[in-house]
Amino acid sequence: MNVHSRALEETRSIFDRALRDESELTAGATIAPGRQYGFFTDTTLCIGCKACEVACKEWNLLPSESAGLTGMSYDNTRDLSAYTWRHVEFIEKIADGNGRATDMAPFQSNWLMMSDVCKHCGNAPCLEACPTGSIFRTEFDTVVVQQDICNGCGYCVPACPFAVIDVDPYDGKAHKCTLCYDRLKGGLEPACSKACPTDSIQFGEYSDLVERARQRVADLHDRGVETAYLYGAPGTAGATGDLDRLNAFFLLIDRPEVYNLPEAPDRPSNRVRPSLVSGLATVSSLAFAAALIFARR
Amino acid sequence: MPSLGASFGRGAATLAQWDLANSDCILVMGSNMAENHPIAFRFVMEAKQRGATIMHADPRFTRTSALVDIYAPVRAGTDIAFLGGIIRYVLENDLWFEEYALAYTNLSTIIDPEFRDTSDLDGMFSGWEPDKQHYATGSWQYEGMLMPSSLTEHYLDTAESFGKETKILHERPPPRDPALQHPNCVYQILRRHYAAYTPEMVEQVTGCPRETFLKVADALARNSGRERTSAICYAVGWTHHSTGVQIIRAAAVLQGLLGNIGRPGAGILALRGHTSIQGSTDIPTLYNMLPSYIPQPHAFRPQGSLQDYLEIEQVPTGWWHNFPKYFVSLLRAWYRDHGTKDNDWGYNWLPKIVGDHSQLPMTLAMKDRLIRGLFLMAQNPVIGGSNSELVEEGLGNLEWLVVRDIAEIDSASFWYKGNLIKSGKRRPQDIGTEVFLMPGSLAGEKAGTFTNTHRLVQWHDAVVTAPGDARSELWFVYHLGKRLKALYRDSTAEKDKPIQSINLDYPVQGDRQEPDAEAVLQEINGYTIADRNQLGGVNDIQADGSTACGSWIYTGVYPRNDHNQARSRCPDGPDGPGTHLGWAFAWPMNRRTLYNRASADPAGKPWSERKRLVWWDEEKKRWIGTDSIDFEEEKRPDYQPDWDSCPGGTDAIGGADPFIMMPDGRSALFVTSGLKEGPLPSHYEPLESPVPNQFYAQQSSPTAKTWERDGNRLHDVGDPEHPYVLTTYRLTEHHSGGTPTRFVPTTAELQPEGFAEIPPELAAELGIQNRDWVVLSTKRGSVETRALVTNRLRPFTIAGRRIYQIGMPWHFGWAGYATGDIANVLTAVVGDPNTSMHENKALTCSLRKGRLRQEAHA
Amino acid sequence: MTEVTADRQTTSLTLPPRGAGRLQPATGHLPPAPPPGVDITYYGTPSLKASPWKWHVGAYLFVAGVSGAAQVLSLVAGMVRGRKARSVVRNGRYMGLAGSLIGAPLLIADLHTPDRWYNMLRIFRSTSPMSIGSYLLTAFGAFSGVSALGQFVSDMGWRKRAARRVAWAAHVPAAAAGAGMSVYTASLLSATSSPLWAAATRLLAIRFGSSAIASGAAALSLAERARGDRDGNARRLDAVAFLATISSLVATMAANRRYRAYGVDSPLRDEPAIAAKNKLGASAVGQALPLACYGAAAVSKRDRPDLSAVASLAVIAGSYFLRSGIIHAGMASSERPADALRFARRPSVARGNGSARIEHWIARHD
Ligand SMILES: Nc1nc2c(c(=O)[nH]1)N[C@H]1C(S)=C(S)[C@@H](COP(=O)(O)OP(=O)(O)OC[C@H]3O[C@@H](n4cnc5c(=O)[nH]c(N)nc54)[C@H](O)[C@@H]3O)O[C@H]1N2
Ligand SMILES: Nc1nc2c(c(=O)[nH]1)N[C@H]1C(S)=C(S)[C@@H](COP(=O)(O)OP(=O)(O)OC[C@H]3O[C@@H](n4cnc5c(=O)[nH]c(N)nc54)[C@H](O)[C@@H]3O)O[C@H]1N2
Ligand code: SF4
Ligand code: SF4
Ligand code: SF4
Ligand code: SF4
Ligand code: SF4
Ligand SMILES: [Mo]
Repeated sequence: MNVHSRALEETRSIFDRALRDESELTAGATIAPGRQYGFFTDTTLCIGCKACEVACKEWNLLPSESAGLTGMSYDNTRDLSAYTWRHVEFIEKIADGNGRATDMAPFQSNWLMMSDVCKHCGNAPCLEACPTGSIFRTEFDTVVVQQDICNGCGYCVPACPFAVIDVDPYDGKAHKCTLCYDRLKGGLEPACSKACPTDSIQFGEYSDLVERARQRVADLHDRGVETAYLYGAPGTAGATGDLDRLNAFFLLIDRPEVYNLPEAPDRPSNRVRPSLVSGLATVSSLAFAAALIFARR
Repeated sequence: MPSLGASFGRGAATLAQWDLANSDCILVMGSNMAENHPIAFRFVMEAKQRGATIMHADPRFTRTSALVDIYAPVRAGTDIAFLGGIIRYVLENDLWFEEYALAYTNLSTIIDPEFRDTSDLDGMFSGWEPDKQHYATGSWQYEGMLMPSSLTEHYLDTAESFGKETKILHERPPPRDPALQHPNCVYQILRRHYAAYTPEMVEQVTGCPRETFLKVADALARNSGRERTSAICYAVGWTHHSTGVQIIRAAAVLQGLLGNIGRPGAGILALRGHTSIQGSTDIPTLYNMLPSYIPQPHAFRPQGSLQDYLEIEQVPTGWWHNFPKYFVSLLRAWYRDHGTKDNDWGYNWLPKIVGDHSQLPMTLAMKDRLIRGLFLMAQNPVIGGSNSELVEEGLGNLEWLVVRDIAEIDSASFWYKGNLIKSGKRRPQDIGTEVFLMPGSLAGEKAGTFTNTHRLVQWHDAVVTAPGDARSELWFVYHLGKRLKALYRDSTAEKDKPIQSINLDYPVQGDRQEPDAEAVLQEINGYTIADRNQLGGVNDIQADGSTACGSWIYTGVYPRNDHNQARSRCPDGPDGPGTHLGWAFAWPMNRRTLYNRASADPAGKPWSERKRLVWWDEEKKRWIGTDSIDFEEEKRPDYQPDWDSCPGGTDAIGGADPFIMMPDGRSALFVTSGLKEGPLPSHYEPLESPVPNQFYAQQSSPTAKTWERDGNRLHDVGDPEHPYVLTTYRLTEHHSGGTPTRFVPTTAELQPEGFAEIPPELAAELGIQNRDWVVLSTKRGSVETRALVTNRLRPFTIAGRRIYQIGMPWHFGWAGYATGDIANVLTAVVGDPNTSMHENKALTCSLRKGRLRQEAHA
Repeated sequence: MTEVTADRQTTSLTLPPRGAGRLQPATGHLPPAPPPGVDITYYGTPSLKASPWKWHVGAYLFVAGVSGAAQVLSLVAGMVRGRKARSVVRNGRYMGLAGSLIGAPLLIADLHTPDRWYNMLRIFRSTSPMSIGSYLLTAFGAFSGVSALGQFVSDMGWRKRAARRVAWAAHVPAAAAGAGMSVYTASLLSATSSPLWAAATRLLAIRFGSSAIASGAAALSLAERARGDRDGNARRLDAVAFLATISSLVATMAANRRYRAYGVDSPLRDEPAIAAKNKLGASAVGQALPLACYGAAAVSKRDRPDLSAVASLAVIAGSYFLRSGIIHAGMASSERPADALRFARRPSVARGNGSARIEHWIARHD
């Protein structure tokens, strides 16, 4: 059992105050403004318990939104939404008939489970689309919506390449994972990663996480899980098209599409300039043509 | 639990959850560990990270299966065939850990010549008494010696006086043949017993492909021995069978042979249920036990006085020889100053039992109006009890019902929302039960302890005040007791003495007059009566009435007046030994790994550096190590009892006999007494099975309890109307009867409706699509639910027939947000002979597409 | 009970991590893509979210296009034809004002928190067409307002000269903003992750720009016709509309080819409402019909006010259907995971080496 050395300092069973830098004990990460934080979600460790989903809803006081049994394996959540900021996906990959496996790759296989979340993109499309500045990049390099500023224009919604952010029709504001901005400010690791029993969701400083993730991929390759790869770490699938990096990145063992993730999302704002240039060129040319036409006798 | 008790001495997990991280191989079987014990599963993942082989054997491919290296599909109810197959594999290929098993188990002990095995009698052991429908255990004993059980009940039903025959234990060790040649030594009996459990038979009976089975057997064998250890984790996938106790016994035999008890990363981890279910067997909510595994006196046994009782319950040798100390101190705690030496410390005020008063027969007694009133404190039997409609009928025949819970649970609203009401079998106006719904407080609203699955007693404070009238159980029982005492204060009738004498002197706190839970824990730990000093350890408990102790195995949890060890939170540091002795308290005496003397060889040296835990230090002349020693600390490894002096208690246990609770100090591969269905596990089909027993003529366990009557009929073997195997189980997303999860929106939405898991092959046969409505039926009742068609269930070929299994989570009911029909409408009231545990993991049923209630179409 | 002593701290059972020091850390490789024709989705649930826009946005895009273009064309006409285009200039200015007066409330009405509309002007964000558009609309509204006010004052005959000067001075920036208004809406759609909006960025801008000019010209033409086209402006405007419609048609055909190549054209094909808007509304009504009318008028060698009016109305309607049709097609496209995920595999992005790869990829999938 891994125990942080600071655990030896905090041995009382009653605490009269909040623990200083609790995240050091629970995630091994010190939280300080000005540094980059994120999630490394190692799907090969996920047991699909949905503790992350519940922890998120409980901490953020999000309502439930059940629409009944979906029949999609054990996923009755369906998708991320304005009220659901963690979503555990279940993909049954068990062969038919007698091909059903008994001998399996180490760690997760045959029944894939993956806890999806806002990626806190490097060049975050939602943020870049937001006309009010409601979405901003925090001192922890995370992407957060300020509902008091949001006017519900909804433009961030189609901007997001990952179907994350959504506008709540009831309060008219956009909502999504805040990477527990409030908790980070208090030195606590996010609720979801803290609740994760197997450390499938790991919170920490981005560079540490990438390092850890690369090590993990190497280790899995070493054990014969050759399909393991990173999604969203700099230079990998998911962090394509100028997005630069996804601060919440993943270790996957099947095609991104299997997890409903785009292989190569891009940065929508890259299309602003070509569009405006082409459009204005069209209008100018036609205006010029009009001038010629008007000038004809 | 009796199974582990009978095999090793204590009915509890032998290792700490976190010790699984030290395992080289882990078999999870009869448990869906990742789903139901996710925190414990964390340590399985840690072992995996360190390179361990992880295996899961289950009828369904579950979230646990997804994380393992080998998944072995097995037909529900065939675990003994599977484990028996491994035992045979290990014995026939000489893969067992010879030095360990020879020294620490009863492998070489010679059994009575009259003994006949199931392999001789086609599924029966010697001693069957058809008229009494039970076994006489005389022929199961060690040759010339009557062995009392290490279980709660030491009482043995024999012709002669119990005392006399067992006194031989003072005189000599059991007869043994270390060369293992004697035809009746346990080794030879085992080999004969399991000779038929070949890989081919395993495949034919369990449905598990032979190669897969062999891989599991091989992994366990390869990862056991001096340098390596393997652990087995189980839960109710094993216990919920008419043969549940014997399945666990098979694991105990296997782990004994492989040397996997009492060592790091080794053992049998019983994954218990509710947060403190271990606590509720230690300080039991069971009808037949007093705290710390002391048997409840029985009216029909020669236990009329304290002397009689002690006479037949005190065993001559082993730790249980201390029995009188523990029992007298318990009486002292309960009756305090009312108890005196002259009135047997109040022994006769204890209620006596007369038979099986467990939940299942109680349900029938309610139906028959023998029981008139019921307290339901934190239980939801309409959902969790077998044969739910029968439970409804029982509850509906009561005069009064007190439900203490956190919501109006299904068992409180049955009289107007129940199945019988829905189906029109009963009308609310005809049900006379007066229901009192009393709000209970939840864990965070009250102080107390949880005893977790590995006996770790952890204190928790109240962190919020319970809302409104919600009160703790402690409050309720205490004030109920006080009021009863006030009502009976002036009575002179002898029958009212128990109420008048019971000690309820606990300090109360605050406006609500909440009893101080720490004071209760202090009493549980025990104290000296004279100057009220806390007892430091079990050795301080006395038989002379000078000490009071509420539960002797917990002594040490509150060892000083100012120190509550359950509250301690000192983990080991990153470089520490990892036993975390400073973190809370594990009974007994803070031992994390039970029987840890076995982690050293007979000479007291660790079996290997890699797997050392405790060892004999010749300089210090004592045992040392990283765990609290589960042995007499200064008993030399070469100590031999001096038989001439008629040693008793632990003096009769040698320095190389690690199982101090056992009369012979060794783990019992062959169990002589205490278990009702025989000394060795044999495969019996579940009481309801689609196929005949392929091993023996005896179809199912002859000792299993059945209560066949109208409304509780069983299906015949191979009943064509009920051709499918049905198993019931849990989902991570819900908790048991569902109150804590079905009533809470954030968890209710995760599994919002009931369903049944159906293999695609069967669905195709019956034209069932995913999410279709289907109806499942048994002779007990019918339910409608949604189909979840999934490859995670597979058809089996058993005895040349294709057998389909269906799975149905049993959490759902009509109350709360997440609803669905109750799986237990389908199950029957049947029971394991030792524990009366139901068989809800393996029954047969029918399945069709469609709906049950037409009106529901609208 | 054993006390915790120092020598207990000696053993620990940690093993060296597997593979330590043997392999270089890696990020791994993506498993191979499924063969063409095989789509992987997650139970068919969308991999993108459609914008939560209501009908107002389509209407706004249309109004912005017509009024912006009208402002541009009226300026050009005024500058080139002088007094002969006086009525065009006047109508253009009023249309500009009307466009802002209708457009702004439409846009605000679409907000889910309309009372916070002004937060749009809290910041400027060049990456956000929505932000760019807010300022364009603000500028357009302000200058169109001033210009229309000047026009009105001069029409009323008060302080004619000053008013005219003011009107002209404001008309120039209003037209500049109008140019932006008529096309930024294409970037509003393209700068999202919706496959259909993103797939043909430049072509969409050309289509929007062309159809805006066509509809602006058509609107101005209708207004001239209403007064009998005394100055011959309508004829010229019809010619502009004709040219712009041709441009729009060519761009539409190219865009459709691109959609097909990327495999994101399915909503245009199989969702009846969307197909109707695009094929019937935008193409048949908005392009084929006016081109036929203009063609017929040209063939008939004389002024045909009837044909011109029909063509103008068709062009205007087509401009609305084009925008509304594309909006809905894009929203539907977002909700088609097979399309979206396939689109997100396009090698230009996946490997980051530009349009050469796109062509190769298109060739493979065409
Ligand atoms: N999330 C969650 N956790 C829980 C609970 C809960 O309700 N929800 N309940 C708690 C309680 S009270 C308990 S007792 C424990 C129970 O914990 P578990 O024993 O893990 O619970 P189950 O899901 O009932 O059964 C476990 C598995 O046994 C399998 N099984 C059925 N029949 C057989 C068989 O014949 N042989 C074998 N090998 N396997 C079989 C089932 O397919 C199932 O996967 O969990 C505790 N933890
Ligand atoms: N078919 C089938 N049947 C089964 C099983 C199976 O696997 N299959 N499993 C069996 C097993 S292992 C078990 S343990 C039983 C469980 O059966 P039950 O014990 O009946 O189930 P629970 O739903 O856990 O009931 C506990 C109740 O206590 C309430 N409660 C929780 N905390 C408190 C508290 O602090 N105070 C008070 N007053 N109330 C509280 C909860 O709200 C809940 O209503 O079901 C058994 N039934
Ligand atoms: S994933 Fe979507 S919502 Fe999250 S930061 Fe990226 S663009 Fe924004
Ligand atoms: S909906 Fe809110 S957060 Fe999203 S882009 Fe508009 S203003 Fe920004
Ligand atoms: S980081 Fe916080 S807000 Fe985001 S998913 Fe986790 S718990 Fe929810
Ligand atoms: S809490 Fe962790 S293990 Fe559980 S579903 Fe979420 S990511 Fe997976
Ligand atoms: S629900 Fe509670 S008891 Fe069960 S695993 Fe989670 S933390 Fe442990
Ligand atoms: Mo349980």
